[in-house]
Amino acid sequence: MKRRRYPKQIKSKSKQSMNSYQTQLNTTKQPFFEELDQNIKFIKDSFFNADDVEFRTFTFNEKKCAILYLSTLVNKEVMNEFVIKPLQDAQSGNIAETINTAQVDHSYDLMKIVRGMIEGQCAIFTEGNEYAYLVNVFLTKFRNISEPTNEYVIRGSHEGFIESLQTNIYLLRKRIENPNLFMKYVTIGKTTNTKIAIMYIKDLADPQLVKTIEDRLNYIDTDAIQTPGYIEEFIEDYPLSPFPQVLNTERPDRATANLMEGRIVLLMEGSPTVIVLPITFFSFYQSPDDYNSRWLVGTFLRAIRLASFLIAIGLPAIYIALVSFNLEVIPVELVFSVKNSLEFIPFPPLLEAFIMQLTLELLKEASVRLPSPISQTIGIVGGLVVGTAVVQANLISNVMLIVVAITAVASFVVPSNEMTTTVRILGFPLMIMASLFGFVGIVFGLMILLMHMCKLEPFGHPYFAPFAPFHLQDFKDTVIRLPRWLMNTRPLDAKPQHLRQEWPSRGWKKDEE
Amino acid sequence: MKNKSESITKYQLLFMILQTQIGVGVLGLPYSVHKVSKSDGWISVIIAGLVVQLMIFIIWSLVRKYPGETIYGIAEQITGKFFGKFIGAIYILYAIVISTLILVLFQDILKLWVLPNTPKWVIMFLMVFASLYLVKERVRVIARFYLFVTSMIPFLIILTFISFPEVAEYRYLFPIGQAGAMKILLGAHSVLISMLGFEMLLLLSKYVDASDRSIFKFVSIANGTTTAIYIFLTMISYVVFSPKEIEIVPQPVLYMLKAITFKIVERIDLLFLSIWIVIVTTSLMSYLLFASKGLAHFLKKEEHKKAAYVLAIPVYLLALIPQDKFQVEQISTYIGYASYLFIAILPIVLWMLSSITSRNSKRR
Repeated sequence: MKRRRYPKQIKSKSKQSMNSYQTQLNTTKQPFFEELDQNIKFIKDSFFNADDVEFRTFTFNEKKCAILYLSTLVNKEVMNEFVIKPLQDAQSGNIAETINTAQVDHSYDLMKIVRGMIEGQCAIFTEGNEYAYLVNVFLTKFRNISEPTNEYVIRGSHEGFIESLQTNIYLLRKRIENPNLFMKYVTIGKTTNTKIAIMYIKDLADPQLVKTIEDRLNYIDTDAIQTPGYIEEFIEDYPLSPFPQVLNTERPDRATANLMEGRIVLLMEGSPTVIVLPITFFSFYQSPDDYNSRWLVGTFLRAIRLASFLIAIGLPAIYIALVSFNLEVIPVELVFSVKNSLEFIPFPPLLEAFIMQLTLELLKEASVRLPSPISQTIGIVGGLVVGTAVVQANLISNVMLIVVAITAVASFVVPSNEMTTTVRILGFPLMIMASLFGFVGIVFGLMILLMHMCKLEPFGHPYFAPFAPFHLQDFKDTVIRLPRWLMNTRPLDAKPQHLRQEWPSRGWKKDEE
Repeated sequence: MKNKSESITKYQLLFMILQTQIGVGVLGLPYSVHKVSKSDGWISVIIAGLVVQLMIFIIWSLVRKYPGETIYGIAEQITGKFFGKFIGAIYILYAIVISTLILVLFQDILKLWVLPNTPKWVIMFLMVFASLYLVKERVRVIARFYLFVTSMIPFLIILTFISFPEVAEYRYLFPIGQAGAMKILLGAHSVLISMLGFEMLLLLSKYVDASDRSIFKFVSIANGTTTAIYIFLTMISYVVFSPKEIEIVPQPVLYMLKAITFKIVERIDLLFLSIWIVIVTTSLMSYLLFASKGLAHFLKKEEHKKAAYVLAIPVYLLALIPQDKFQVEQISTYIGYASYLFIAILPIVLWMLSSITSRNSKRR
């Protein structure tokens, strides 16, 4: 691995200095006490006598038993029906066999019992036994599966990931019904104990990559993981790059397609966003829609999207270069109308562009935050600001208004929110370069951008594939979208274990002749 | 010894050589050759191409004996520590001087055509910064970038084709051979400085992951392509401009592009220049890489990142020394002569020495 310089981190003397209760919970062991009451008291103390720790006692095998649970986490109906009722009906026998639930565990470690209870299990203690049973009766409260609002498609699945890790895994497993779809839990966050699932296809994903990801995940040493963004920042290679190095998606079909290319998906409990990695620049421009429409249409849309990238980062810069350096580039007729609109504008073009772009950002940010009834107001106000009023007031030229509007529309075409923002930000340095050096500045700016993209190798996989390194085969699903029966091989950039993904599926043609 | 993450493919080698060869000289080539060999300049280009091919053969036969070594290592192995270091040092010097020359010529043309008022230290700084940003990376990453930007060269050709005026006069080329054999040969010499860049093979042979034969083949293809592009540009310039006109247009291709206009773009020469900027930057990067790999070799380091930082400073400062047009011309003539030492004489001497020593060691 290449050595990179990171911003200075606080060197952790961590292991000793951290005496948080949770660390103790995760690492220490506590054997059972002889008395049942002592055990119950220990558990209650572990929760600091929280009000939702409840228990009830009963007799089984003529011994005193107790069932402990967190009333806020367990499904009481299930517990009554499948745990308590069978035990009371049978009155004697083996506890584990009497209970009617799928999973019954037991442990000799009181700390593990505490951990189990915090996950929503109930614990069954019996007098005189040095172990307790843990039964899964957790309460599931999730919203329904619905279409992700930030990644709409016209045709295709309308399911989206939700905040439940289990449901999300279910959605993926349903789409790839194959034992090769491997999943593994990792718990990160010393206080939050957040569950992360790593999913990939065992005989497809690059083992080297899997190891890298697992290593990096294990390296995370933090109190809390609250969003996948935390994980992203902990494991990414280039913190200084403006480009997103993992793909965030809420669409199971997008995640599945990437799994099938040998990529890895990271899911997190409590987040509808999953992380896909490693990723190329072009992955951000692929949408499930492309594959649901005819390939010609798909290709057309792809081309438009990629053109939108160039427009979004380059158009304001080109305009600035034109009006402040080389007006002679455009035809004379156009020069007149452009000059005309610039006549009464007090600002230099760069300032004009900055004002408009920033106003647009403000509007965008405001409309995201506001509740929907009020956000209509923003629409009206915005229409006034980014509209004819500002031109009539001679603050902004109308050509600039058109340029900014096209730029904004172009940047929203990207089917990924992260990339949209990146693209919008990248426009600013180019604008500055254009105002300083004209077209030469733009060329240098784009050149440095290109160099940067050639350099990026997140997780050891080239970011700008298949352009750099050049691989003609993989163009069939990047700039263009060829019909499925021509995509015989998987893209090379994720280094999948085997490349072939499609065999002559249109063999019927020969038969029918 | 081929390091897997450092190696480049033969295609990448091809484009690296090609991009280094086609550089700052491409704009002024028809003019400068015309000064010597008149309208037979294109014959001079062919001759220069053939001569370069010969030199490539010499360099190739030298480097093929030492796989896994750059010229700096090869020189040390053949002539011993002291002389080897000396040869390495003058190669570094050569690369620095060429980088400086590229920078100066680049700034000249940019000042003339696009940015007449921007101070030169700013443009040069921009150029050095952009080059340095990539040069400090691994050779493989650099090669990727080269491969990508090579896709722009066809655009240059297409632009020239589109703008080819109807008033071309083919008779300007005739009679073929009017300048006389001596003049044509001398003209080949002035082409040569625009063809420099193939000596990158001295450095890159270490990194290429391919057989000897295919290395030779692909470098030859690169040289052939360069020669073909140059022939194309010179011929076009000579049929568009009369022999009298060409004497007053130092950048004939640009003048030709400037003459025509389209409905939406009126100045195609600016478009051409924009692409040309990238091509010049790649040439500068190659020589910076050449020098910094050498410095890194002296410091016994595999990574050349710091060396690149260090070397960019003298290149930048040297380019800042004020000079007028004639001095620059003078200097480039000197460099034209001096370059023979590096692309022909030294490789031949080293090759002969190495064959003598290897025969000796075989006898033992």
